Amino acid sequence: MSKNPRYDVIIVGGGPNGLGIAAYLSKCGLKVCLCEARLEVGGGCETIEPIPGFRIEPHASYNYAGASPAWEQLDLGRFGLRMVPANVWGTAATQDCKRVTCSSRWNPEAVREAGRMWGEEVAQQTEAIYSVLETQECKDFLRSIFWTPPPPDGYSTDPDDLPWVKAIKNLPLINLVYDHSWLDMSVLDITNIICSEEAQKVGLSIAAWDSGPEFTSKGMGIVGLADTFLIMYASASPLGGFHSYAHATMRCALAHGCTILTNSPVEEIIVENGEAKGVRLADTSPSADKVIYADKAVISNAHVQKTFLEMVPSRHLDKGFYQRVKDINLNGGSLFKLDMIVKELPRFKDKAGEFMDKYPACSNVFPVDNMEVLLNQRNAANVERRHAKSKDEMILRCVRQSVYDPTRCPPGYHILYNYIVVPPPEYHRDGPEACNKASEEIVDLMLSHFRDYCTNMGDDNIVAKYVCTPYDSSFRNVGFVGGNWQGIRACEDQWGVNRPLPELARYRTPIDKLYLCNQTSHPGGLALMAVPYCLMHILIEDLDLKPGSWWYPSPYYISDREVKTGEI
Amino acid sequence: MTTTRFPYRNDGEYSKRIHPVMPNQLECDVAVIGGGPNGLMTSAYLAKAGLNVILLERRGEIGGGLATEEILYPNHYANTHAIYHMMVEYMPAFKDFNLGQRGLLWVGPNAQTGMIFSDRSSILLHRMEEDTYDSIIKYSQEDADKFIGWIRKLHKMMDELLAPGTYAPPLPAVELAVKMHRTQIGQELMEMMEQTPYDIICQTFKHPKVRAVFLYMTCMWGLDPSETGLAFLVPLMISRGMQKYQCYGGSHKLAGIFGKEIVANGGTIIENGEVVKILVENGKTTGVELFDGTIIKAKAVASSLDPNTTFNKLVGEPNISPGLAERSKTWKADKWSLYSLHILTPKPLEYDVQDELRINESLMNIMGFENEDDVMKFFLDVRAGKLNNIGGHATCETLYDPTLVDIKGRHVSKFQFPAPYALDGDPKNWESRKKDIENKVLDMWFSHLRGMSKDDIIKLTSESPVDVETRIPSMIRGGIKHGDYNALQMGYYRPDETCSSTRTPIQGLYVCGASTYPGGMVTGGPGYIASNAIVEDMGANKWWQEPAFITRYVTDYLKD
Repeated sequence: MSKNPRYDVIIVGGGPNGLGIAAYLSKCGLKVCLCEARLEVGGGCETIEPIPGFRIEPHASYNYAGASPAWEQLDLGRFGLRMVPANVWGTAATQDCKRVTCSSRWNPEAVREAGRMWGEEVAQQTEAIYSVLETQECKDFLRSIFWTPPPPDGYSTDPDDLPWVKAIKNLPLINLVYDHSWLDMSVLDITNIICSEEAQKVGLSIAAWDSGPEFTSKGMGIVGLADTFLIMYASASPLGGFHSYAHATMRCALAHGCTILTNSPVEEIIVENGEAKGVRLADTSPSADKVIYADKAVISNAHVQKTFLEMVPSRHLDKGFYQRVKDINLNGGSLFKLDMIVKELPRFKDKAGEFMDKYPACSNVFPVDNMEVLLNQRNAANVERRHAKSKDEMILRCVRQSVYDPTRCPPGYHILYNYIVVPPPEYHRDGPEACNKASEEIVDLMLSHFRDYCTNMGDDNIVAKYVCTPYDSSFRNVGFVGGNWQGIRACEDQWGVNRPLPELARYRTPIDKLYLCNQTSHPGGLALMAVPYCLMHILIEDLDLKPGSWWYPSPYYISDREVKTGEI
Repeated sequence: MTTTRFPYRNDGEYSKRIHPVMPNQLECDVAVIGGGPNGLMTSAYLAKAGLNVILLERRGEIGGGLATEEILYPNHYANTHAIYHMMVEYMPAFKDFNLGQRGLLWVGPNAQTGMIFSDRSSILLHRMEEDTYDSIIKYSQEDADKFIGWIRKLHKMMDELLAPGTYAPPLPAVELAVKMHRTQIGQELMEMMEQTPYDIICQTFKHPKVRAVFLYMTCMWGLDPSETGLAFLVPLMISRGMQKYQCYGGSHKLAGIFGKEIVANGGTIIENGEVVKILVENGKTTGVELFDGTIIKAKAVASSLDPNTTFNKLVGEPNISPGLAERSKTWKADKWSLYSLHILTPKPLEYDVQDELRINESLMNIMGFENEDDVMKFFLDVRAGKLNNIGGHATCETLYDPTLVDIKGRHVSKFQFPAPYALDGDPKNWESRKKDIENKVLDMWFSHLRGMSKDDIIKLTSESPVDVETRIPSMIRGGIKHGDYNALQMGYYRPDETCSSTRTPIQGLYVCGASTYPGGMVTGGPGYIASNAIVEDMGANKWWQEPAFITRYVTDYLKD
């Protein structure tokens, strides 16, 4: 009937999750075609060079996926990937610059020295936490949360049956203080139990917020805590920039025969009789065939809203479902980002400066000892729906990859990647372009904040500035609806068995043979290679895949069959 | 302390513990240095021949001059180097890799190269001779008549001699001359060699405007208008100047497809993999070392870098002869580089021209010159490091490739011209005069446009020769051809008579970049010739067949 090409599986979108599932399925021997709208795959794993010689990351910068099975299953090292571990990962300064907190798995001495500024007890506490990282139980805990599909509908509601509860009960130290009331707590609540100093609480809250759930979000405490463990466990950066990570995954897919069509936006997911049949590409695609068919599955690596509000024709969808997709909240991951090229790293004042000069870290946060300021920034974005306007709403994060990765910029320079959280453009009370219009004002505020803490952040040190707003991100990356790096808010209503909606939590959709594989599904963003790994469990069942001996499932995985037959 | 930077080392221990990533010792059959068009092509041919290939690229992205980057605005792309490719019909890789079936499209419109003059008149050179004839005849019946005969002769030289010669190893100059003199067409080519491009153009055409467009088109990519001994490039530049093909989806697309071929055939691409040493033992290559300490053992190494880098910096004495060391040290960089100004506008550019309706469909429009003397003066200035009058060529990249912009209706265009690396004697002047030059370029460019003013520009960015070198340091002094085109650095002497066949005096070391015969410009010549040599030397499966036009050239023209 048609000469249009047929594949086993079509993947819509070449972000890290789309590439990941393409690599997994190609490695299983399926005939896979991935369609990417842009000129280049990678999605948020992007490194650009808008200023010659300086590699800027508009989105992802750190990789926390050290505990992911994908490294070995996809053999990413074979495809040229190298990781740069920061000897000292992060340091954070107090408002008076007299003390610091320090986080690093690789430099216990620095961590101890910073801990002692707060007393011997804090130093020992911190050291004890780092010792947990070396245990298999820690890896298991992380895998139970991030690398396990949410349990199926109808599964036990007993907390003791939840994968991460099983795992946390084995986690040294934490298991001493854990009880089931933690399931309803926020990160803030948990920090009140496990931390004694405000700086520790703020530090953990920021680490959690910048990696997933908001620190005030009830029921997300364990997830937020797990996020901070991800960071401590294996924070490192792909050599050369985050795009290298996408390259390695893409090449794994290509090496196993995957077809990748770039410049090929999918305009429609073709549905017949309630079943996904293929996709229709934009007329501008260089592909000779604008309609391509999939025999086994269409997998959407597009945002859940793009998938159902734009790609699947609405006539195939239930009105109630359509509305619930529309209502999904986009808060929490929209960043106003300022890249600065400087000649010298920021020189902090006082004791903080002495410490930070001695242990140059890959990231800085300041101030770290005032919870009120953190709450102010959160409330400005979420409640008042505006960007930060004064210094009492300003906690700045500054990422400095060039300290450890010499490929980022020429000798004699550094790149500072600074950001604060702002509302998604759609939610900003002054309109979607508000942050763009106020760009200079926000940059001035960030700079003035810098100058309160550092002595050398004058114009003579700053060579160039490059701003990226969430509005810009949503252009660059159609997947970043609202400019949100994790797609949608990470909150109890939108996480685990509820992410992005309860009926979509197992990556299946109301359309047969259509699956989701985007960060809007469990467990969310961070390019952990977790969504594709989780989806593999489902596809092995549905498509009767027979992966080779390289594959191993999550020990915590619960299949639909197990629930239906009451095997548990 | 505040400027501290830590040198990254590829630490196997760390990788074993947390991230199972690339080991710090690798082995392969062939290590290829440089992921530009030639390095990519060499790697792709060899990988498909069953050799285990590792391609090493210093940047985070393969492609070299095949670069399409987001330099203007999120999701608005511009080609920072090559926009179009000139050897599309000839490049053997096109058929060997069936690129057309791999999503690679080339758009080659009939309207190819226009020149716009201050009195709103213009010339438009087309792919179809008849249309060009009609454009030239406005100025001179004699030139138009001359054009037809001339262009057919040049196309013939191209088809029979120059194109096939691009993909066959070079012969010593004397030997080549003897063989060329056996045929009429060969003799004519040899006669052209004795002249300068300027002389050839002026002897062929009478009208100043006609001379201007042909002279600029001949020399825009780095041919010196007053240099003798190189004029075999005139037919190539003229013939190709009317057969340009824009790579749909951006020039980088071509790089991506070769990258895919390499990986799909078991090869490995390592970006951020700057090579700091070519390992040589007992006169034989054994591999390379990367900046981060990674050692790659290889039976053969192919370098696409310039000879000074390859032989003096990466191999080094005592493994090369003093002659080769000296020759490489004195290797001359390109006489000039390119300056580019990229703009994003809300609509396509419309030129204020009274005669040529199709000028707005042209792939390229040249402006800023009224006659051949203006062009000549411009090139002499550039050669002397000066930028007195602004002139150059403009392309609206989105005219034939809407995929470069995200927002429908917006357009990305670029104005480019040959430019000295050391402006007024010092490369630093590019930075200090950046704004001033941008304004001058815009004033000149926009004086030829209608319905648009400078205020309509949404985004603008410029790249000087210094920026070219910063992005891609292998383009020394911004040189896109990895070395000047002069009689001593071309043909059998590129880069040296001992290496122009792509084999070098060091066993297992090959050269395969733009500084090797036949030169730069995304012809794929050096990469193709090197692939043939390596496959033969390593006894691998030569899976491709020489195209008939090359075989014919070798048997008809070169046989003894």
